[in-house]
Amino acid sequence: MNTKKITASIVSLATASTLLAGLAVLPAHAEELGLKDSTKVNARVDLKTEDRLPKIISRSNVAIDARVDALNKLNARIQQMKNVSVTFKSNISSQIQTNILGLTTLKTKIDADTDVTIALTDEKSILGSFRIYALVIPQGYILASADRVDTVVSLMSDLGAKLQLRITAGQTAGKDVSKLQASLNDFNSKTADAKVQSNTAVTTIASLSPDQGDKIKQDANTTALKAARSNIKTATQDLRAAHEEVKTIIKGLKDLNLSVDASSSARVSQ
Amino acid sequence: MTTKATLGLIIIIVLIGLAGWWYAMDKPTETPTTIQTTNTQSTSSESTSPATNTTVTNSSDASIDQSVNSIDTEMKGLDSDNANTDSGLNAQN
Repeated sequence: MNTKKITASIVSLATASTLLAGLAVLPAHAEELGLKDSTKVNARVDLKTEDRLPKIISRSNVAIDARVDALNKLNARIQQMKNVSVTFKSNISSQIQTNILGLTTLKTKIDADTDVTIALTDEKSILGSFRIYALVIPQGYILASADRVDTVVSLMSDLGAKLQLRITAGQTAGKDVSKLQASLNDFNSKTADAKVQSNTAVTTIASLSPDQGDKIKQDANTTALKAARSNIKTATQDLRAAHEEVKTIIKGLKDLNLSVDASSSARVSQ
Repeated sequence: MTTKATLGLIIIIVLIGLAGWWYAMDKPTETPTTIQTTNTQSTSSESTSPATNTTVTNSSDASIDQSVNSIDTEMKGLDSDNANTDSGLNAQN
């Protein structure tokens, strides 16, 4: 009887010891088997966050730097405009500087971001809040193009007067200048249309502002910019056509050999 | 020296003087300064002599060439402005 009790006790103790030893060793085996506990999952998420945030910040910095660079170049171009007032240039320059300041401030904020979600939201605002490439840059360069068209029109107007003088002199000298006069008329017509087109372009885009995420406004801005760009394209084509007419007229005048009849030119112009 | 010879010498000197005077009067009208001031607008000086008018013609050619060159330069600038506009419009963001 005592022997049985002693044996039972020994078996119980051995079983209990085995179970305890098993429980103690289990976590180590679990790790070896690749089982994940909550602590390990959280650590991996943190690692992922640490990995993503620098990438978002770096990407944002590149995007902002490129926009600031483009804005500075636009500002330099605006200052070269010849047919607008100082106030006009100053207003555009001020708007550009406001955008640069906004982007620079945003860059500082993104650099200090510690949360991926906030950083992503800030990154999105580079596009939605500013619309540098979608609005500001094309709007500024269309204004610059329109100003350039006006400059060319002015130069062509002066040139047209000189050519008219020569054609009239040729006519007075008895030369057939009908083709030259037709070319000059076309030249005048093209330059006049170029001026109209540039004015329309300016009127179309002068009051556009960033859409701030408003899709309807974004579409309206895009439509207006494309229409103005089309006006400038037509104006450019007009000027190219006028330029070709100039070549024709100059060649025609040389063929008339007007230098011999120059005295007629002088007399006619009196 | 006889009287006839003296008289002939005086006549020759006077003729040379007159030729020099005519040459001096004619030359200044061909200077570039006159050209630049008369190339776009007609003036009375343009009809004073054939030499003047020939010069005006040349100055007009130069003036026209200058205008064409200025236009060419501005047209290149216009192409650059248009390219920058298209670059923005194509980015769309």
